Amino acid sequence: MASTDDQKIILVSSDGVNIQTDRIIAERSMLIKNMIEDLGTPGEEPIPIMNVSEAVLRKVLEWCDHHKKDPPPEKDEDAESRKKTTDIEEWDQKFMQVDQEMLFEIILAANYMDIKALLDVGCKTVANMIKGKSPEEIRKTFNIQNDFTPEEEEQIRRENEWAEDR
Amino acid sequence: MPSTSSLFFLYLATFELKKRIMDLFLRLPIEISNLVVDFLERESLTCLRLVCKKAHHIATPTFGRRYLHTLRPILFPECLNALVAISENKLLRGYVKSILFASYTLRQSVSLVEMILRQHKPEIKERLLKAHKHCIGKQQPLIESGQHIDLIAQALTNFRDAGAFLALGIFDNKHSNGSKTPMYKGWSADPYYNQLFELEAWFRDSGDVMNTVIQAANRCKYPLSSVELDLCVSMTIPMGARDALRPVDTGMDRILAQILSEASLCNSKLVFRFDITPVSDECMTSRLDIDWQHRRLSFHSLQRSRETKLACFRGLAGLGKLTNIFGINTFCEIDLSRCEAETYILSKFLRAHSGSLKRLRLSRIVFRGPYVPREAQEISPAAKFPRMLKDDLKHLEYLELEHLTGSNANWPTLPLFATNTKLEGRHDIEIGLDMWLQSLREAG
Repeated sequence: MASTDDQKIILVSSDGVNIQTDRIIAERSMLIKNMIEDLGTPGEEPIPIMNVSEAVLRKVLEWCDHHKKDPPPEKDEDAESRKKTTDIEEWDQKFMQVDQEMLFEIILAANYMDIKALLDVGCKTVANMIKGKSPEEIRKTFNIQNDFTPEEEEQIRRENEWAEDR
Repeated sequence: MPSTSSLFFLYLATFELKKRIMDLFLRLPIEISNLVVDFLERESLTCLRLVCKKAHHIATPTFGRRYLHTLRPILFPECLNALVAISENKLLRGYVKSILFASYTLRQSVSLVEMILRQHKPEIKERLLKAHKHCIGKQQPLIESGQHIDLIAQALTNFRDAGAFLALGIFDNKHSNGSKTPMYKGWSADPYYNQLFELEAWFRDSGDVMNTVIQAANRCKYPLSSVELDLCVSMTIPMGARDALRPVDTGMDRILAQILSEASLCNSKLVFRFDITPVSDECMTSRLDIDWQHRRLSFHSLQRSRETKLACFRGLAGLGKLTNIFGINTFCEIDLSRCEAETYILSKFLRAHSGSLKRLRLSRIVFRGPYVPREAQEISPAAKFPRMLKDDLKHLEYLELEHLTGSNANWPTLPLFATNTKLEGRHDIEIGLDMWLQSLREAG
């Protein structure tokens, strides 16, 4: 019998494409890991990934493959310190150099498939797209229309000044 | 040349593409956009609030929770006006959970500030003196007219009417309960405040600030019994090494005693720190900390140099009216370290708290006592002390002794027992103290 590392499983994307991958790679997703444990027959039944298209699923699996040997996710008590930095390792930075639509699809897929580390990288990437930019630059980056009146903007500016740096 | 129809289709395709990527960020589920916002620092978060209404909606909860949870106003017109403005802001006031007032006011003596500036910042003395004058000019009329109480009362009324009962308190920058003076733009704080603060052109006025807050709360019938007061105050008690004790500033002592006497404030987080400064340089400065909520007292000498004598623990001497309040059966936990103690005074102090004392730690204590010839003593002071611990402190559940020594012949070299012992439970404490007494008998 093949060891867990060698086992293959088949995932089915939302557009109906079968993708075969190693169990160890797919199990970076807690959703898939739990489904395999619940089904108890890995590899026999294709696993449907309802909300993720083929293109996005392949991209997510590429990330999982690169990170398959990473240690298990950090415990909750580390979450706060994790949030203090938006540093992203080089490989992940390159991985996230995709168009915005794909970036947001990856984030949504990571959320759906319960891959915390990928969700983190995605959110950090978006945060880095906001950091250091003026409101107008943020609007341009995300193609957003300003719907404030000048009076409303002035009020928010005043409120913003109440924020103490910690 | 492309035909009109192909141009139209190109335009449609571009429009469709634009529509698809339009405000993708804003269309993320709220739990994901919250994760993104968590990674933003203050500057970016405030910019995001200005992008559009939806971005404002996404960024505001994190903004409110992170930056408005605890407000730290100083008694300055701009700060108190900002406090009122926040209390009137229907969207943001719900994020405020506590207000900690800074316990500092500016020194009003220009000559004293001038002297400090001359010593520390002669190059910018003129500019800062002008700034100090300007700041005093703002603070003094505010306080003298009682307008500061009106503004605080107004803010508390707004919070109360909105159903928000906040924790109130004051904090002391030097002995802060994790807080710092709010020297930031939003409170229109004068940029000079910070420089003046570094130069100690401010002085601590804990009791008066607390009194102001309580007066304001009473004026608007803000129910103090429903809030938790978080108070960290400190006072300096000048104390001679062996001279008569000089009492603490009586005004402040009276205010603090009054606060503690209020039954509704009994369970608040009140922390007192007293710096006890000896008159002579021969003896170290010491610190007495009282955590009222946990009924905890600790005392220790502050390191100066090896040649300087340890400070002497004198119980609650010098605390004026507070002595009466703290005097009997107040403390559940007492921790004395790095100090000298007269056996009689220490025993008397511990005995006064015998009804409440559960944990006692004595570390690096040098016991002192008047010399009495051994033959004239019924029982030696060294033996009296453990006997008192055993016979009088009946509620003790934890006893830690570390490096106890004696300063004269009445305290002979103590047995190994008193060098490092941790005892838990009444049974173990009694056995331990019996062993100590036994070893003293054998040694004597």
